[in-house]
Amino acid sequence: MAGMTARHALYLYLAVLPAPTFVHDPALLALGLLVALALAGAERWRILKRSLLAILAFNLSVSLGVVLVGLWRGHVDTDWLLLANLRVLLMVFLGFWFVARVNLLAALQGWPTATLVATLALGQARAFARLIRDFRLAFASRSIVKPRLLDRRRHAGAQAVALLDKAQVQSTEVALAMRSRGAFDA
Amino acid sequence: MLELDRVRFGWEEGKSVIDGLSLKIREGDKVVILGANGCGKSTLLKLMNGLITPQSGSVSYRGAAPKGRDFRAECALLFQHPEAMLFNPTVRAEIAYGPRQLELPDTDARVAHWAEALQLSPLLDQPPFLLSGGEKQKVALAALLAITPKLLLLDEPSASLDPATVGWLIDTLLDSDMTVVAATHNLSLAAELGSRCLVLGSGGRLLYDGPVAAALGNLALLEEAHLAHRHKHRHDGTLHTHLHVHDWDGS
Repeated sequence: MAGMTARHALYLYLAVLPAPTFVHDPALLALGLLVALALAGAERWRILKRSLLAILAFNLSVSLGVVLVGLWRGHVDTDWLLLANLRVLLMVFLGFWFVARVNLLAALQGWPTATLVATLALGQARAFARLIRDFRLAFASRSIVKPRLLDRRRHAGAQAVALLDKAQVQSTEVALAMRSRGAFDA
Repeated sequence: MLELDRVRFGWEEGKSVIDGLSLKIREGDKVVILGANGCGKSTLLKLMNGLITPQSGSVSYRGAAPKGRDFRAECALLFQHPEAMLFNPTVRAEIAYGPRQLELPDTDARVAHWAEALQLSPLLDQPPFLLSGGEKQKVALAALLAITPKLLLLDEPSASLDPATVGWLIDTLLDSDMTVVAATHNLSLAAELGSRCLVLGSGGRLLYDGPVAAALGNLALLEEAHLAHRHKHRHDGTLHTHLHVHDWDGS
Protein backbone atom coordinates (compact mmCIF):
# COMPACT_ATOMS: atom_id res chain seq x y z
CA MET A 1 0.00 0.00 0.00
CA ALA A 2 3.08 2.23 -0.12
CA GLY A 3 2.58 5.43 -2.12
CA MET A 4 -1.19 5.00 -2.12
CA THR A 5 -3.54 7.55 -0.56
CA ALA A 6 -5.69 6.42 2.36
CA ARG A 7 -8.83 6.76 0.21
CA HIS A 8 -7.37 4.60 -2.57
CA ALA A 9 -6.32 2.00 0.01
CA LEU A 10 -9.91 1.96 1.30
CA TYR A 11 -11.27 1.41 -2.23
CA LEU A 12 -8.76 -1.38 -2.79
CA TYR A 13 -9.66 -3.00 0.54
CA LEU A 14 -13.40 -2.83 -0.21
CA ALA A 15 -12.78 -4.31 -3.66
CA VAL A 16 -10.58 -7.17 -2.42
CA LEU A 17 -12.54 -8.03 0.74
CA PRO A 18 -15.41 -9.95 -0.94
CA ALA A 19 -13.03 -11.93 -3.19
CA PRO A 20 -12.51 -14.83 -0.74
CA THR A 21 -16.28 -15.44 -0.68
CA PHE A 22 -16.16 -16.30 -4.41
CA VAL A 23 -13.29 -18.77 -4.00
CA HIS A 24 -14.37 -22.31 -3.16
CA ASP A 25 -11.03 -24.09 -3.35
CA PRO A 26 -9.13 -24.26 -0.02
CA ALA A 27 -5.81 -24.41 -1.89
CA LEU A 28 -6.54 -21.09 -3.64
CA LEU A 29 -7.58 -19.49 -0.35
CA ALA A 30 -4.37 -20.74 1.27
CA LEU A 31 -2.44 -19.26 -1.66
CA GLY A 32 -4.31 -15.97 -1.17
CA LEU A 33 -3.36 -15.97 2.50
CA LEU A 34 0.27 -16.64 1.63
CA VAL A 35 0.27 -13.75 -0.86
CA ALA A 36 -1.28 -11.43 1.74
CA LEU A 37 1.32 -12.56 4.29
CA ALA A 38 4.13 -11.94 1.84
CA LEU A 39 2.84 -8.44 1.02
CA ALA A 40 2.12 -7.47 4.65
CA GLY A 41 5.79 -6.85 5.38
CA ALA A 42 7.44 -6.90 8.79
CA GLU A 43 4.13 -6.76 10.67
CA ARG A 44 2.78 -9.95 9.05
CA TRP A 45 3.18 -12.26 12.08
CA ARG A 46 1.70 -9.74 14.51
CA ILE A 47 -1.30 -9.26 12.22
CA LEU A 48 -1.67 -13.02 11.74
CA LYS A 49 -1.56 -13.56 15.51
CA ARG A 50 -4.21 -10.87 16.07
CA SER A 51 -6.38 -12.39 13.34
CA LEU A 52 -6.09 -15.90 14.80
CA LEU A 53 -6.93 -14.65 18.29
CA ALA A 54 -9.89 -12.64 16.98
CA ILE A 55 -11.51 -15.61 15.26
CA LEU A 56 -10.45 -18.30 17.71
CA ALA A 57 -13.56 -18.51 19.91
CA PHE A 58 -16.13 -18.17 17.11
CA ASN A 59 -14.42 -20.41 14.58
CA LEU A 60 -13.59 -23.04 17.16
CA SER A 61 -17.21 -23.30 18.31
CA VAL A 62 -18.57 -23.38 14.76
CA SER A 63 -15.98 -25.96 13.68
CA LEU A 64 -16.65 -28.13 16.71
CA GLY A 65 -20.38 -27.93 15.98
CA VAL A 66 -19.78 -28.99 12.37
CA VAL A 67 -17.55 -31.86 13.50
CA LEU A 68 -20.14 -33.06 16.04
CA VAL A 69 -22.98 -32.92 13.50
CA GLY A 70 -20.70 -34.65 10.96
CA LEU A 71 -19.88 -37.42 13.43
CA TRP A 72 -23.57 -37.86 14.17
CA ARG A 73 -24.31 -38.14 10.45
CA GLY A 74 -21.30 -40.39 9.84
CA HIS A 75 -19.30 -37.99 7.66
CA VAL A 76 -17.21 -34.97 8.64
CA ASP A 77 -16.73 -32.55 5.74
CA THR A 78 -13.09 -31.60 6.34
CA ASP A 79 -12.88 -29.73 3.01
CA TRP A 80 -15.69 -27.40 4.08
CA LEU A 81 -14.12 -26.91 7.49
CA LEU A 82 -10.80 -25.95 5.93
CA LEU A 83 -12.51 -23.71 3.37
CA ALA A 84 -14.62 -21.84 5.95
CA ASN A 85 -11.76 -21.34 8.40
CA LEU A 86 -9.31 -20.18 5.73
CA ARG A 87 -11.90 -17.81 4.27
CA VAL A 88 -12.66 -16.18 7.62
CA LEU A 89 -8.97 -16.00 8.51
CA LEU A 90 -8.08 -14.36 5.19
CA MET A 91 -10.88 -11.79 5.46
CA VAL A 92 -10.01 -10.91 9.06
CA PHE A 93 -6.32 -10.73 8.14
CA LEU A 94 -7.16 -8.27 5.34
CA GLY A 95 -9.13 -6.16 7.82
CA PHE A 96 -6.36 -6.01 10.43
CA TRP A 97 -3.77 -5.39 7.70
CA PHE A 98 -5.83 -2.49 6.41
CA VAL A 99 -6.28 -0.81 9.81
CA ALA A 100 -2.60 -1.39 10.67
CA ARG A 101 -1.42 0.41 7.54
CA VAL A 102 -4.10 2.97 6.75
CA ASN A 103 -5.42 5.90 8.77
CA LEU A 104 -9.13 5.09 8.62
CA LEU A 105 -10.19 8.63 9.50
CA ALA A 106 -8.07 10.02 6.66
CA ALA A 107 -9.63 7.45 4.31
CA LEU A 108 -13.12 8.58 5.29
CA GLN A 109 -12.39 12.31 5.09
CA GLY A 110 -15.24 14.13 3.33
CA TRP A 111 -17.87 11.60 4.42
CA PRO A 112 -19.20 13.14 7.66
CA THR A 113 -21.50 10.31 8.77
CA ALA A 114 -18.91 7.60 8.09
CA THR A 115 -16.26 9.68 9.86
CA LEU A 116 -18.56 10.16 12.87
CA VAL A 117 -19.32 6.43 13.10
CA ALA A 118 -15.64 5.50 12.65
CA THR A 119 -14.55 8.02 15.29
CA LEU A 120 -17.07 6.63 17.78
CA ALA A 121 -16.07 3.05 17.00
CA LEU A 122 -12.34 3.76 17.26
CA GLY A 123 -12.81 5.67 20.52
CA GLN A 124 -14.84 2.83 22.02
CA ALA A 125 -12.37 0.20 20.79
CA ARG A 126 -9.50 2.07 22.39
CA ALA A 127 -11.37 2.48 25.70
CA PHE A 128 -12.23 -1.22 25.80
CA ALA A 129 -8.70 -2.26 24.85
CA ARG A 130 -7.37 -0.17 27.73
CA LEU A 131 -9.89 -1.64 30.18
CA ILE A 132 -9.02 -5.21 29.15
CA ARG A 133 -5.30 -4.42 29.45
CA ASP A 134 -5.83 -2.96 32.93
CA PHE A 135 -7.80 -6.04 34.03
CA ARG A 136 -5.02 -8.33 32.77
CA LEU A 137 -2.24 -6.31 34.41
CA ALA A 138 -4.14 -5.88 37.69
CA PHE A 139 -4.72 -9.63 37.90
CA ALA A 140 -1.03 -10.26 37.24
CA SER A 141 -0.12 -7.66 39.86
CA ARG A 142 -2.34 -9.23 42.53
CA SER A 143 -1.35 -12.82 41.74
CA ILE A 144 1.40 -13.50 44.23
CA VAL A 145 1.27 -17.21 43.39
CA LYS A 146 -0.15 -18.91 40.32
CA PRO A 147 -3.91 -18.20 40.44
CA ARG A 148 -6.30 -21.11 40.97
CA LEU A 149 -8.78 -22.02 38.24
CA LEU A 150 -11.56 -20.64 40.46
CA ASP A 151 -9.79 -17.26 40.69
CA ARG A 152 -9.25 -17.20 36.93
CA ARG A 153 -12.96 -17.91 36.40
CA ARG A 154 -13.94 -15.19 38.84
CA HIS A 155 -11.58 -12.75 37.16
CA ALA A 156 -12.97 -13.57 33.69
CA GLY A 157 -16.50 -13.11 35.04
CA ALA A 158 -15.68 -9.76 36.67
CA GLN A 159 -14.05 -8.59 33.46
CA ALA A 160 -17.09 -9.61 31.39
CA VAL A 161 -19.43 -7.78 33.79
CA ALA A 162 -17.24 -4.65 33.69
CA LEU A 163 -17.11 -4.71 29.89
CA LEU A 164 -20.87 -5.15 29.56
CA ASP A 165 -21.47 -2.43 32.14
CA LYS A 166 -19.08 -0.07 30.40
CA ALA A 167 -20.65 -0.84 27.00
CA GLN A 168 -24.11 -0.06 28.35
CA VAL A 169 -23.05 3.12 30.17
CA GLN A 170 -20.89 4.32 27.29
CA SER A 171 -23.58 3.78 24.68
CA THR A 172 -26.10 5.73 26.78
CA GLU A 173 -23.60 8.51 27.50
CA VAL A 174 -22.41 8.75 23.91
CA ALA A 175 -25.99 8.87 22.61
CA LEU A 176 -26.91 11.61 25.12
CA ALA A 177 -23.76 13.59 24.34
CA MET A 178 -24.43 13.33 20.61
CA ARG A 179 -28.04 14.42 21.11
CA SER A 180 -26.83 17.29 23.30
CA ARG A 181 -24.45 18.41 20.57
CA GLY A 182 -27.16 18.26 17.92
CA ALA A 183 -25.95 15.16 16.09
CA PHE A 184 -29.51 13.84 15.66
CA ASP A 185 -31.09 17.15 14.69
CA ALA A 186 -32.38 17.38 11.18
CA MET B 1 15.50 -0.89 46.55
CA LEU B 2 14.14 -0.20 43.06
CA GLU B 3 16.25 1.02 40.19
CA LEU B 4 15.36 2.12 36.68
CA ASP B 5 18.23 2.45 34.26
CA ARG B 6 17.71 4.31 30.97
CA VAL B 7 14.22 2.88 30.60
CA ARG B 8 12.31 3.42 27.38
CA PHE B 9 8.75 2.24 26.84
CA GLY B 10 5.86 3.01 24.49
CA TRP B 11 2.46 1.39 24.16
CA GLU B 12 2.48 1.97 20.41
CA GLU B 13 5.31 1.46 18.00
CA GLY B 14 7.38 4.60 17.50
CA LYS B 15 5.69 6.51 20.36
CA SER B 16 7.67 6.49 23.60
CA VAL B 17 5.75 7.27 26.77
CA ILE B 18 8.88 6.94 28.89
CA ASP B 19 12.16 7.81 27.20
CA GLY B 20 15.54 7.12 28.77
CA LEU B 21 14.41 7.46 32.40
CA SER B 22 16.86 6.58 35.18
CA LEU B 23 16.10 6.78 38.89
CA LYS B 24 16.53 4.99 42.20
CA ILE B 25 13.94 4.50 44.94
CA ARG B 26 15.52 3.95 48.33
CA GLU B 27 14.07 1.92 51.21
CA GLY B 28 11.60 4.02 53.21
CA ASP B 29 11.31 6.76 50.56
CA LYS B 30 7.98 8.53 50.27
CA VAL B 31 8.04 9.63 46.65
CA VAL B 32 5.41 11.49 44.69
CA ILE B 33 5.44 11.50 40.91
CA LEU B 34 3.95 14.72 39.59
CA GLY B 35 2.97 15.29 36.03
CA ALA B 36 0.12 16.32 33.79
CA ASN B 37 -2.32 13.89 32.15
CA GLY B 38 -0.67 11.54 29.69
CA CYS B 39 2.91 12.23 30.80
CA GLY B 40 3.53 8.57 31.64
CA LYS B 41 2.89 8.39 35.41
CA SER B 42 0.71 5.26 35.21
CA THR B 43 3.06 3.63 32.72
CA LEU B 44 6.00 4.31 35.03
CA LEU B 45 4.20 2.63 37.95
CA LYS B 46 3.41 -0.41 35.78
CA LEU B 47 7.09 -0.62 34.84
CA MET B 48 8.05 -0.42 38.53
CA ASN B 49 5.54 -3.19 39.29
CA GLY B 50 7.10 -5.42 36.62
CA LEU B 51 3.84 -5.64 34.69
CA ILE B 52 5.35 -4.34 31.48
CA THR B 53 8.88 -4.76 30.21
CA PRO B 54 10.97 -1.81 29.00
CA GLN B 55 11.79 -1.80 25.30
CA SER B 56 15.28 -0.79 26.31
CA GLY B 57 17.01 -0.22 29.64
CA SER B 58 16.20 -2.17 32.77
CA VAL B 59 14.13 -2.21 35.96
CA SER B 60 15.45 -4.05 38.99
CA TYR B 61 14.13 -4.64 42.50
CA ARG B 62 16.79 -5.44 45.11
CA GLY B 63 19.15 -6.20 42.24
CA ALA B 64 16.89 -8.71 40.50
CA ALA B 65 14.18 -8.57 37.83
CA PRO B 66 10.80 -7.43 39.26
CA LYS B 67 8.94 -10.74 39.07
CA GLY B 68 8.18 -13.87 41.02
CA ARG B 69 6.42 -14.69 44.27
CA ASP B 70 8.73 -12.74 46.58
CA PHE B 71 8.47 -9.59 44.47
CA ARG B 72 4.67 -9.80 44.20
CA ALA B 73 4.41 -10.31 47.97
CA GLU B 74 6.47 -7.16 48.58
CA CYS B 75 5.37 -4.80 45.83
CA ALA B 76 1.71 -3.83 45.37
CA LEU B 77 0.14 -1.43 42.89
CA LEU B 78 -3.12 0.46 43.33
CA PHE B 79 -4.49 1.00 39.82
CA GLN B 80 -5.99 4.30 38.77
CA HIS B 81 -9.27 2.53 37.95
CA PRO B 82 -9.71 0.10 40.87
CA GLU B 83 -12.54 -1.89 39.25
CA ALA B 84 -9.84 -3.62 37.20
CA MET B 85 -8.45 -5.04 40.45
CA LEU B 86 -11.66 -6.44 41.89
CA PHE B 87 -12.95 -9.86 40.90
CA ASN B 88 -13.89 -11.70 44.07
CA PRO B 89 -17.53 -12.34 45.03
CA THR B 90 -17.44 -10.30 48.25
CA VAL B 91 -15.45 -7.46 49.75
CA ARG B 92 -14.29 -9.92 52.44
CA ALA B 93 -12.92 -12.36 49.84
CA GLU B 94 -11.35 -9.46 47.95
CA ILE B 95 -9.36 -8.24 50.97
CA ALA B 96 -8.49 -11.83 51.94
CA TYR B 97 -7.23 -12.70 48.45
CA GLY B 98 -3.61 -11.62 48.98
CA PRO B 99 -3.18 -12.95 52.55
CA ARG B 100 -4.79 -16.24 51.48
CA GLN B 101 -2.27 -16.63 48.65
CA LEU B 102 0.52 -16.05 51.15
CA GLU B 103 -1.15 -18.54 53.51
CA LEU B 104 -0.99 -16.03 56.36
CA PRO B 105 -2.47 -17.48 59.56
CA ASP B 106 -4.07 -14.17 60.58
CA THR B 107 -5.97 -13.57 57.34
CA ASP B 108 -9.33 -13.01 59.07
CA ALA B 109 -7.80 -10.54 61.53
CA ARG B 110 -6.16 -8.64 58.66
CA VAL B 111 -9.47 -8.44 56.80
CA ALA B 112 -11.25 -7.16 59.90
CA HIS B 113 -8.49 -4.63 60.64
CA TRP B 114 -8.32 -3.05 57.19
CA ALA B 115 -12.08 -3.16 56.68
CA GLU B 116 -12.48 -1.31 59.97
CA ALA B 117 -9.74 1.19 59.13
CA LEU B 118 -11.28 2.01 55.76
CA GLN B 119 -14.88 1.92 57.04
CA LEU B 120 -15.71 -1.09 54.91
CA SER B 121 -17.00 -3.34 57.71
CA PRO B 122 -20.71 -2.93 56.80
CA LEU B 123 -19.87 -3.83 53.19
CA LEU B 124 -17.86 -7.00 53.84
CA ASP B 125 -20.49 -9.35 52.39
CA GLN B 126 -21.36 -7.17 49.41
CA PRO B 127 -20.09 -7.89 45.90
CA PRO B 128 -17.43 -5.28 45.00
CA PHE B 129 -18.93 -4.54 41.58
CA LEU B 130 -22.04 -3.05 43.23
CA LEU B 131 -20.05 -0.46 45.18
CA SER B 132 -19.48 3.18 44.30
CA GLY B 133 -16.20 4.31 42.73
CA GLY B 134 -14.83 5.58 46.05
CA GLU B 135 -15.80 2.39 47.88
CA LYS B 136 -14.15 0.29 45.17
CA GLN B 137 -10.97 2.28 45.62
CA LYS B 138 -11.09 1.69 49.37
CA VAL B 139 -11.58 -2.06 48.84
CA ALA B 140 -8.65 -2.18 46.40
CA LEU B 141 -6.51 -0.26 48.87
CA ALA B 142 -7.51 -2.53 51.79
CA ALA B 143 -6.72 -5.58 49.63
CA LEU B 144 -3.21 -4.26 49.02
CA LEU B 145 -2.54 -3.10 52.59
CA ALA B 146 -3.67 -6.51 53.89
CA ILE B 147 -0.50 -8.13 52.51
CA THR B 148 1.67 -5.45 54.23
CA PRO B 149 3.72 -4.65 51.14
CA LYS B 150 7.21 -3.22 51.50
CA LEU B 151 6.79 -1.11 48.38
CA LEU B 152 3.39 0.42 47.72
CA LEU B 153 2.76 2.02 44.35
CA LEU B 154 -0.30 4.28 44.16
CA ASP B 155 -1.79 5.60 40.94
CA GLU B 156 -3.87 8.74 41.61
CA PRO B 157 -4.85 7.54 45.10
CA SER B 158 -6.93 10.61 45.85
CA ALA B 159 -8.96 10.44 42.63
CA SER B 160 -12.18 8.95 44.06
CA LEU B 161 -11.56 9.09 47.79
CA ASP B 162 -13.34 11.53 50.08
CA PRO B 163 -11.09 14.07 51.86
CA ALA B 164 -11.31 12.24 55.21
CA THR B 165 -10.08 8.99 53.66
CA VAL B 166 -7.30 10.81 51.80
CA GLY B 167 -6.22 12.31 55.13
CA TRP B 168 -6.34 8.88 56.79
CA LEU B 169 -4.31 7.39 53.94
CA ILE B 170 -1.63 10.07 54.21
CA ASP B 171 -1.35 9.57 57.99
CA THR B 172 -1.24 5.78 57.62
CA LEU B 173 1.46 5.89 54.96
CA LEU B 174 3.56 8.46 56.81
CA ASP B 175 3.34 6.41 60.02
CA SER B 176 4.41 3.21 58.28
CA ASP B 177 7.89 2.17 57.23
CA MET B 178 6.57 1.21 53.80
CA THR B 179 8.30 2.65 50.77
CA VAL B 180 5.65 4.58 48.88
CA VAL B 181 5.58 5.87 45.33
CA ALA B 182 2.41 7.81 44.51
CA ALA B 183 1.58 9.27 41.13
CA THR B 184 -0.70 12.27 41.20
CA HIS B 185 -1.38 15.68 39.76
CA ASN B 186 -2.82 16.77 43.08
CA LEU B 187 -0.25 19.19 44.49
CA SER B 188 -1.81 19.27 47.97
CA LEU B 189 -1.46 15.50 48.26
CA ALA B 190 2.13 15.75 47.05
CA ALA B 191 2.93 18.37 49.67
CA GLU B 192 1.60 16.22 52.49
CA LEU B 193 2.64 12.75 51.40
CA GLY B 194 6.01 13.03 49.79
CA SER B 195 9.47 13.83 51.02
CA ARG B 196 10.84 13.43 47.53
CA CYS B 197 9.28 14.46 44.27
CA LEU B 198 9.79 13.39 40.68
CA VAL B 199 8.31 15.74 38.11
CA LEU B 200 7.66 14.25 34.70
CA GLY B 201 7.34 16.33 31.58
CA SER B 202 5.92 15.32 28.22
CA GLY B 203 7.37 12.10 26.82
CA GLY B 204 8.14 10.83 30.30
CA ARG B 205 11.20 13.08 30.67
CA LEU B 206 12.36 13.57 34.24
CA LEU B 207 12.26 17.32 34.82
CA TYR B 208 13.04 17.28 38.53
CA ASP B 209 14.08 14.88 41.28
CA GLY B 210 14.38 16.42 44.73
CA PRO B 211 12.50 17.69 47.78
CA VAL B 212 8.76 18.24 47.33
CA ALA B 213 8.77 21.70 48.88
CA ALA B 214 11.37 22.99 46.43
CA ALA B 215 9.40 21.59 43.47
CA LEU B 216 6.15 23.16 44.64
CA GLY B 217 7.89 26.49 45.09
CA ASN B 218 9.28 26.41 41.56
CA LEU B 219 6.46 27.80 39.44
CA ALA B 220 8.51 27.71 36.25
CA LEU B 221 9.04 23.96 36.75
CA LEU B 222 5.34 23.45 37.46
CA GLU B 223 4.47 25.42 34.34
CA GLU B 224 6.81 23.30 32.22
CA ALA B 225 5.15 20.18 33.64
CA HIS B 226 1.69 21.65 32.91
CA LEU B 227 0.86 21.75 36.62
CA ALA B 228 0.57 25.53 36.74
CA HIS B 229 -0.96 27.94 34.30
CA ARG B 230 -0.81 31.60 33.47
CA HIS B 231 -3.71 33.68 34.69
CA LYS B 232 -4.59 36.89 32.95
CA HIS B 233 -5.40 39.69 35.39
CA ARG B 234 -6.30 43.31 35.11
CA HIS B 235 -5.09 45.45 37.99
CA ASP B 236 -5.71 49.20 37.87
CA GLY B 237 -6.47 48.98 34.20
CA THR B 238 -3.25 47.14 33.39
CA LEU B 239 -3.46 43.64 31.98
CA HIS B 240 -0.77 41.30 33.16
CA THR B 241 -0.27 37.56 33.57
CA HIS B 242 1.12 35.52 36.39
CA LEU B 243 1.66 31.85 37.11
CA HIS B 244 -0.91 30.16 39.26
CA VAL B 245 -1.61 26.71 40.70
CA HIS B 246 -5.07 25.59 41.71
CA ASP B 247 -5.02 22.90 44.38
CA TRP B 248 -2.05 24.12 46.39
CA ASP B 249 -2.10 27.16 48.64
CA GLY B 250 1.58 27.03 49.55
CA SER B 251 0.88 26.46 53.23
